[in-house]
Amino acid sequence: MKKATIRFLKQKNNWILNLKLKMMKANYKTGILTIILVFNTIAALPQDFPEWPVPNNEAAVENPVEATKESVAAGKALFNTQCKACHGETGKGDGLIKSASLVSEIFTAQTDGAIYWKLVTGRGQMPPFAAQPEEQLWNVINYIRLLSMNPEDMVMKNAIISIIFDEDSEKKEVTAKVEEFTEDGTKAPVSNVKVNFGVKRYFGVLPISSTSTFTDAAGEVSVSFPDDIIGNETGELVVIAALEDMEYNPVEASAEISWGLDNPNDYWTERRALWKDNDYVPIWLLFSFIGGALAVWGTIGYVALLVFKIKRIGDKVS
Amino acid sequence: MSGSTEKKKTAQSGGFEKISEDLIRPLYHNTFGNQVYIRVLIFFVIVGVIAYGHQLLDGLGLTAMRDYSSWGIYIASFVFWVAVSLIGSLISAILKLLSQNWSTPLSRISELIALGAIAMAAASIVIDMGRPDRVLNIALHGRIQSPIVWDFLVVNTYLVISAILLYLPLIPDIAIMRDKMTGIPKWQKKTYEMLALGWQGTQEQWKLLKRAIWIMIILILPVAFSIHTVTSWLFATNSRTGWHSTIFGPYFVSGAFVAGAAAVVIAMYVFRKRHKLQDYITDKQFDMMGKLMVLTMLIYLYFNINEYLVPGYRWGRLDGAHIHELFLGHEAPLFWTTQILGLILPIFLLMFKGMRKPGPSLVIACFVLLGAWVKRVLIVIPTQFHPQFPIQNVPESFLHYIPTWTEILITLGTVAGALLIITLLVRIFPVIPIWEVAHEKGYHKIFKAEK
Amino acid sequence: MKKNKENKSETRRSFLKSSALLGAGAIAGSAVLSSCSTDAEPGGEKVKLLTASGELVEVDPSQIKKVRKEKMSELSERGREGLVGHHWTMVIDLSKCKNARKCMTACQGAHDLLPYQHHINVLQMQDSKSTAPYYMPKPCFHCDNPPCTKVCPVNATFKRKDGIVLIDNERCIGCRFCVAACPYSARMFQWFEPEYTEEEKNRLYDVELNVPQKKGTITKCLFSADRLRKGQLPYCVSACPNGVYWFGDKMEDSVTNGTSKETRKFSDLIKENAGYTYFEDLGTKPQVYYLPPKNRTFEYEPVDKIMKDDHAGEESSHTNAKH
Repeated sequence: MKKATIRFLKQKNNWILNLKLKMMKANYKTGILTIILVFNTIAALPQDFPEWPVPNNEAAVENPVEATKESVAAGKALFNTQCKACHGETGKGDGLIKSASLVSEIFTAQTDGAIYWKLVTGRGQMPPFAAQPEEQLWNVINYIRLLSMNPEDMVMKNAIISIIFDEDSEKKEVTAKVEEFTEDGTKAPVSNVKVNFGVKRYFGVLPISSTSTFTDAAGEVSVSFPDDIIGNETGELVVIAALEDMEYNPVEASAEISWGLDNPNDYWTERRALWKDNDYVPIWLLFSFIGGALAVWGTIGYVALLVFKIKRIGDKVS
Repeated sequence: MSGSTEKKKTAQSGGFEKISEDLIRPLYHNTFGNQVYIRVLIFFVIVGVIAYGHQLLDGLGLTAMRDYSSWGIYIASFVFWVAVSLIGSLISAILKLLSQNWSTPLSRISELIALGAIAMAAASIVIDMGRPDRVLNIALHGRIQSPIVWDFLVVNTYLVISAILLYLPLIPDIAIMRDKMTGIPKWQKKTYEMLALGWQGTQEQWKLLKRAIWIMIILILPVAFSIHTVTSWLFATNSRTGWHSTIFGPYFVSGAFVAGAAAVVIAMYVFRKRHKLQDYITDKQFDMMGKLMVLTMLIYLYFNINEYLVPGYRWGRLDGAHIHELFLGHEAPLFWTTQILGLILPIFLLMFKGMRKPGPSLVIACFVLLGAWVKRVLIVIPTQFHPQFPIQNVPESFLHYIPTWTEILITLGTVAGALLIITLLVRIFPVIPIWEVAHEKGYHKIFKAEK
Repeated sequence: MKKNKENKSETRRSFLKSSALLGAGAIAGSAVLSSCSTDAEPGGEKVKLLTASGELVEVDPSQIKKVRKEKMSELSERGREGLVGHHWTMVIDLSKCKNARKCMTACQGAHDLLPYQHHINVLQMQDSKSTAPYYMPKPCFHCDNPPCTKVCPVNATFKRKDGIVLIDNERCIGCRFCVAACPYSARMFQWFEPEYTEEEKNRLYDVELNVPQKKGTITKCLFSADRLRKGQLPYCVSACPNGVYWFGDKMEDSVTNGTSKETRKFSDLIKENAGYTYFEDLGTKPQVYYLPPKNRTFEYEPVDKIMKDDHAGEESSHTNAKH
């Protein structure tokens, strides 16, 4: 732990950070930490957050959206952008900010309506999401329900996914095919599973599909490829198709295709500029600077010559 | 020359003897006062060097400069020294070209001040650098697009030109001292002999010397204008209130002549008194210098009005805050004291002949010179507290700039350094150009080769 | 805080990993290397090496080839060249910033900065009396017409081919002209000897990371150039819990959100949210875009704008650094 950071935390005089500091110091004494953990689990409240009562009429509202794969997929997409940061990827409340667990017994004991009311009302660090469309909020609730079902107990199946490019049709299409191996070793199509299509970028994957890309009976699903995505200098880019389903282990395929726009790669120019280095000095400046220096120092040199001549005459005369 | 040849000879030899005696006599005589003075200067220089050593070890954090006021009195002093050094070009060059013969006795004083000042300007910049051990990087990796590289070139060039313009008219004087002075230490005699370049005053030598001086006088003009204009561009090329002005060049150059003239008046008084030069630095010189000061200060006042009235009229977000701070706010006491005591009142007073006498001139010149330094502090520092984005999440001490002892002692060290350079040079060279004064008074046959 | 530790131990782990890999690589390539090995005779005393998987193995010294260490000049060269073909940009969503300041602490931790030194500073802004106040994270804007690189006398600060403006602390002379020139107050100076650990002191200077900091030189936001080279998002972008930062490459027109890791087209994001830059009329062409603070779901709560600690700067940091 840096001296500067410790001093900084002390300076801040913030009770949260002081607590963190104490916790970090306590790391060296893992025995104490274990005891603290044990006490926590034994202690009365499994959640550190004060109770949040919901009005009865709100809690009684029923979830109008069926928990289909589409709904859960849409809910997951929204969860990942709005909720994952604080509540963590698995909803345990272990994200970048300590938050309530969405998978604890106390939380899941609530009705969907109660959760919906909390979503639109917000409290403290939890913002109100009233601006989101209602259907989306119910989708998120469906996804949260899914999270609390222990995925570790499920046995995941394996599938394979492949990418097919359709270059013949007018519109460019990308098709993904999902198959799994049956007991007798043959491949069978997997239907009604979600495939996410994207283009590989430097830091992540740019999605090019919506939330409703589920495989059909033949295990295939297609999206039309947008015509405004930039590739490399020759327009090549990498398309990724990723299987995302509760029952299957995640698997993805990637393939290169030159359906992108050519990357102009024209950011760096060889133009001369005042902010660049000596190799790019503007010509007018180069000539003024060197010309001026040569003119002045040349004159000084000439004067030095005159002085030498004076000395020569002086030596001759004396 | 009037009169018979006989009369001419005696008049010439008698007259010239008196001149050379008067001007060389001070070089023999080192008063106790002068010795104490030199020791005091050396003391301040040493204290400055020790403070600088401390600053080298611990970092520039020993000053009051911080991330928002990252240029302080070192840079203000640098600008001040560059300003004062311009006087060399004004008196040695401009007035000479305009045939202002009253200024002839003052040309050496002004070159000495110019040399001392430009040397301390270079010192001030190195003192302000975070990594002075890498100062050669400017020459090795210099970027031609940077105003600092331009400043590096012109300041060094001006230093060389000032030294040459001090030395060239000095050659005949050194020859006079070589020939006439007796009872001086061997090293001094040897130095004179070496520096005199075997000057005998032949026609050819005079021709060469006059040509050399003429060329340097013309050359120094664009270079002198360049140093202070380029120095002003260190500020004007930045998008900051108070600095992003198109007239910063002329503003600084006109201010430079004011500061330099005041410095010369002070030097005139001191040397006149100490070396008993009343016959050479007469009331006429003070009168004319007083008028020159009024002229330069009027031009400077004109630029001041432009610099403040225009942004004051517009009252932009930051410009308005800056003008308010100077005129009515935190810096108002300092601002008004400087402007009134250092500019407006001197203009008014020096318009009266009685004020252009030596005594009053000295007092007024002291105020003007001190005011010039404070004015440059007011140009450099308040601007930095009005950046485009608000100053936040820093300690309270970052919001103020009050120079620390380290800075003060080092700055005093540079002042002492400039004075020391001048004082030591005046110990071995006459402060008034002997041959020029002699030529003025009509005595042209001074050297062996001329007789 | 957690992110810092992860990044730090990540760096150390990868350092150890690479050095162990070198040992393992030497063993693996022994068949090729033995022909150009050292003078040692086969069958001499064996040397113990640690492989990447943590195994301790014994190797004949004749089969070990010394791998050349990276030189600082090479780091400097590649740092000055940059990741050609990219044009890095950042988008900051002001409607999400809640003044959590995790970005500031992550950055200060990664670059060994003191609490009052900010490569990225979260300001409390209010453009005029009747407009709503908002929090504004302010990194260096890595301008396309940078006033700072224009004035540097020794080419210590420079804009490289991928748009990032870096500082070479081995070249900087500390004149602070760039500090005066920057209209966004993005740069700061090391007034005292900075703090660093023993390990950092002996580390090879990398112009893309600038650790350890050097007394008497300038420091500022580097868009975490060291992380970009490894394909990772900058420290601040990754540390934000509220989804404020998007970072990416204008050349491929995509930015990725540091919190949710969502990737979007840069042009879409700017168009949909009316993105803008600051003080465009100064002609600096800043490359950090802001999305207006619209539809905020939280209350703006002002906090102290000036730190209470008055003695920062005179503190014993400069005397403690003699390790």
